[in-house]
Amino acid sequence: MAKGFTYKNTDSIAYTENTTVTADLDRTGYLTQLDFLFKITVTPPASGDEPNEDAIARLIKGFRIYSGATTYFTIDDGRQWYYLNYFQYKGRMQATTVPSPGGDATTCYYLLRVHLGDRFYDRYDPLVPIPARELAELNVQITWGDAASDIGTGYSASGSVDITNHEIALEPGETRADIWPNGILSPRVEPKTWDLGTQSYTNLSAENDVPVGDTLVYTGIVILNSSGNRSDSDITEMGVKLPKTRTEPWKMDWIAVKAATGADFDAPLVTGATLFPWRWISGKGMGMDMSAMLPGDVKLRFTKPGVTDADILLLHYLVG
Amino acid sequence: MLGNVIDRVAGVRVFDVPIGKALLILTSIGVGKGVSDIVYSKWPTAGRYAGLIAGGGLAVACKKIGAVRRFLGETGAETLAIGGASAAILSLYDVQGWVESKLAGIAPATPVVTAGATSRTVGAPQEYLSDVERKASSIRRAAIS
Repeated sequence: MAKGFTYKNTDSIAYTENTTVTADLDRTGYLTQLDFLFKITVTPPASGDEPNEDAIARLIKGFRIYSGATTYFTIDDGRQWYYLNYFQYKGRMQATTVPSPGGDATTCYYLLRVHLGDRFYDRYDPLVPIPARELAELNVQITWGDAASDIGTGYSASGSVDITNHEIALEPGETRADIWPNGILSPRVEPKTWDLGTQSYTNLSAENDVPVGDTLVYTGIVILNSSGNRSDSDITEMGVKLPKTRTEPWKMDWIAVKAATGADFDAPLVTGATLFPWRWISGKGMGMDMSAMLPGDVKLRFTKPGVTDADILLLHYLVG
Repeated sequence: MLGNVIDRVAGVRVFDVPIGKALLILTSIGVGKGVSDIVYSKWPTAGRYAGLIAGGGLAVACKKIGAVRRFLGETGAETLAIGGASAAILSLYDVQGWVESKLAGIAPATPVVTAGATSRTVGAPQEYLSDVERKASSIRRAAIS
């Protein structure tokens, strides 16, 4: 039987403002979970405005785990990742409060996790591993923002990110086929920042195509208002449409969606964010099988009553 | 002798459907897989080859050892040999899963969706098993075996 191992990755990632930093991931086994502990020392100004909402997450402008042209996990806003983890881990991820102006410099610990399987509390869940030992290279890349813009005016920051790897290692005589008899499942993550602009969209008329080709497991959704903060008032309804069958199999009020997903994931309600499981639509299994679908066959829809600017951060997670 | 019993079971037909032979085939595959599991539990490093060795050995023993063949009878020996060979093949290749996925790919069940703003996808609990679901279930099965 294969064994699970946990160890600190050799490389860590330094924080450098407005820079993209790359590090190597160790390649000794099949990675089932990666923990990224952000240790950011935040120095507040003597006076001024309070720090931004989700300040540390905003510092992450991009993140990617990849090997050559193959990407295993990627986001283009740290809030997509944080709120994915929020629902996976019942809102209990480590996130130190950023100090207010006039306060002491504080090291903020922020744990973000990449777990690609469906048993979030099994660190050696073999469902969707990254086959690190079979790869010629495996890298992680973070694009950093800057403290003055993302944390708050007058703030500065320094620090680094420690990585903890959780992996399955084969025993002598054991083969990959013993654990993955029909092959390994591959993850596909597609982040999208959808700018709805200032116009209103009535009756679910704001539509966006969801990615096709694999099994769509869940979509992380974060609604941002014109100030860039999470909001529950900019979107009032959410739905799914299947144009080819001329059907709208699912729609709910935004607050009801949040309440339902909060119950499903056992996570406290949080303003402006949810994690939509596509098995709600398919009715079974891991999610919605999109292998025979074409782009445009499935649309995610929203109603936006107001005429102020709003963005939706989407994070589609597929398995193939 | 066991051969007589097996012959009688093999002769059972309902509406001319060979129920008895089907029962024997299923029983023999069960015996083949059971023997494979015993070999695997005693010799785990053999891995999936435990099934090949045990199943293949059972098939050869049934057909080539005279005493065994006489005890089982011709029908019994043939059936158990088929069971042993099936277990050997199954240990190396998931033939059943492969065939199921191919057939499902030809004729996927279409989900029935009712119209209306408040409706939801109903029925057609999809018989179609996607490749992802098939892989996922095989990973889960391997994890608990």
